This record gives sequence, C-alpha cells and structure tokens, in this order.
Amino acid sequence: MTTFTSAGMRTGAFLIWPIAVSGFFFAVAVGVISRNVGMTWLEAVTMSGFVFAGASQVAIIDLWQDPLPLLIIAITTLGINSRMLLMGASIREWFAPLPRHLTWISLFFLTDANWAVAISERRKGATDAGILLGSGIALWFSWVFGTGLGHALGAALDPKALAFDVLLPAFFVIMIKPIWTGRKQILPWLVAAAGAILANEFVPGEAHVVIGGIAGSLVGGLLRER
Amino acid sequence: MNADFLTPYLAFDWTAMIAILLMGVVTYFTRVGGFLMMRWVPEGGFVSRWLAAIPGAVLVAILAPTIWHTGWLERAALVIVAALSLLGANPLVAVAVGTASVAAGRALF
Repeated sequence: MTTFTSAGMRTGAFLIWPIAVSGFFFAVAVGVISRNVGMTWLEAVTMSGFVFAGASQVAIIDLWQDPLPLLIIAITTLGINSRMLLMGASIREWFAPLPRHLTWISLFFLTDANWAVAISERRKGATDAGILLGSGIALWFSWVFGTGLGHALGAALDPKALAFDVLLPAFFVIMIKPIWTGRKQILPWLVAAAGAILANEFVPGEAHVVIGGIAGSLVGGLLRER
Repeated sequence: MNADFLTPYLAFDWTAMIAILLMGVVTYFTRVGGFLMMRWVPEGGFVSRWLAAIPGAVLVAILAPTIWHTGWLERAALVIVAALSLLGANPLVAVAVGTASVAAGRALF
C-alpha cells in the first residue's frame, strides 16, 4: 500500500534530523576542502545543491584541476553514484502506484541516508512515501547551507583533527541496525563485503559499491525463503 | 551592501559550471535509472527477494572497504558507534561519540 502526504514528509524530516545535523558538519568539511582546491563559493554551493551526493562530490573535488577533466569527472560520478540505481530499484514497489511527478521530485532528493531511513520505515510497515522526500529536503538544506558556511570559513577548521572523515562510515554503521532482519542476511552480507573489498583492490575507481552490492544482493535473492 | 563584498562569492568559471552540470545530470540519471529500468522486470519470487536483499548488501559494500583500509583507532570508534546503536542510543549521539573518540585519539597519539 502506498500513500503520499505532507504529514509523511514531516515524519521524514523529523526522522532524519540527527543525520541532517551530522551531514551539516560533513558539508562544512566539503566546503572547506572545495575552497582549498580553488572552487569559488558559488561553484561549491551550486555543486551541493545540484549534485547533492557527498561521496561523488568529495571524489570530484579531489580531481578538481585546471583544465578540468570533464570526461573523467562524468565517469567517476557515474561510478560512485551508480549505487543509487540499486536504491531506486528497491523503492519501485513503494512508489509505482504514485503520480509520476512525485517520484521524479522525490528521486532528486534520494541519498544513501534518507533512502536507508525511508526503507527501514517501509520495513516497519510505513505506507507514506512522503517520508523519502521530507527527509531528502531536510538533508538538502543542511547540505547546501553547510557547504556555503564551510567555504566561507575557509581554512580556519582542521577536518582531519576533528575526524570529519569518520562521520561517513559512522553514518553507515548506525544504518545497519534498522536494515538487519535476521541471520539469513549473514551470507549475502559476507559476499557483499568480500566482493566490495576485492573490487576495491583490483578494479579502478569506485565500482566496489556496485560490484559488492550486486553480488551480495544476488546471493540474498538466490537463497530460498524458509 | 557593497557589491565588492559579494564579488568573491558570486565569481565562477564557465567550465567549472559545465562540469557541475554534467555531474548533476549523471547523478540524476542514477537516481531515476534504477527505478525506470525495473519497470521491465517482472515481479516474481526471485526479483522480490533480490530487491529485498539490496539495502543490506549496498550498505555492507560501502562500509567494508573503508573498514578494511582504515586505522585501528577508526575501527575501534566504529565498533563503539555500532555498540551504542545496538544499545538503543540516539544515532547522532552514537556518531558524535565515535567521531569525538577519533578526534581525541588523534590529539593524544
């Protein structure tokens, strides 16, 4: 069953706020490093507002040089964000009954964090698809404002000393609990971990998320229901 | 307000904006692509089980290489985050304690 209400959007915004606060500080770090590689304030804020995908933004900031390698930027972005293909597929049964424009808008705000929040609510029986959009918009504002503030603050902060790099894996750790449904996941998760680690060693770029995610989920699909 | 104050904030390079536009278009494709392509996949036993297995597998695939390559200090902090999360702590508190542990560890060692 599927519904879409503004109450659901508020629920999403409420559920995501701890991650949005954390995301704000991560965005401040992204703003700081974007300044260090020579991006202007408007470029950094436009990137956060229009791309709105932290892992790929960090990777592209790392590639930022003169002249800009446009093809490498496009391929790297596709590689890192291709994990969202799987996320989009996983919410299909939930969003399919809705008017299409709600889906196209909601998907613009799809990220790892609000997808994990929304899908765990779905697992608990939620019907309101507005959870994804509401949580996504909350993340978007914290992400864009954080980037703008971080760029303006410049080099005054030390992301390494403040351990900003630990924020992202820590987010993923706290997302594990709501996704865990039982011991049947142990084998698929081991395959996903092994596939991702091997791909990370031997496949250039960021394909490991796609390779591990596909391998692990296929094993999960092949396992027979009890 | 003086226009000179805003100038550094509003400056931009056209090639940079094209790169950002390109990133945005590619990223939006990944957001809608999976949803669209699944239209032609018939719902069945395997497909529904596969879809159900995607979330955990993707999370693990994002995390595993990071944990594999990170330092012991960071690993210990992520164990603390996991433990706090399993004990029912507020997610932000768990993340903040983990991050602060690493920041403190880096200051000490």
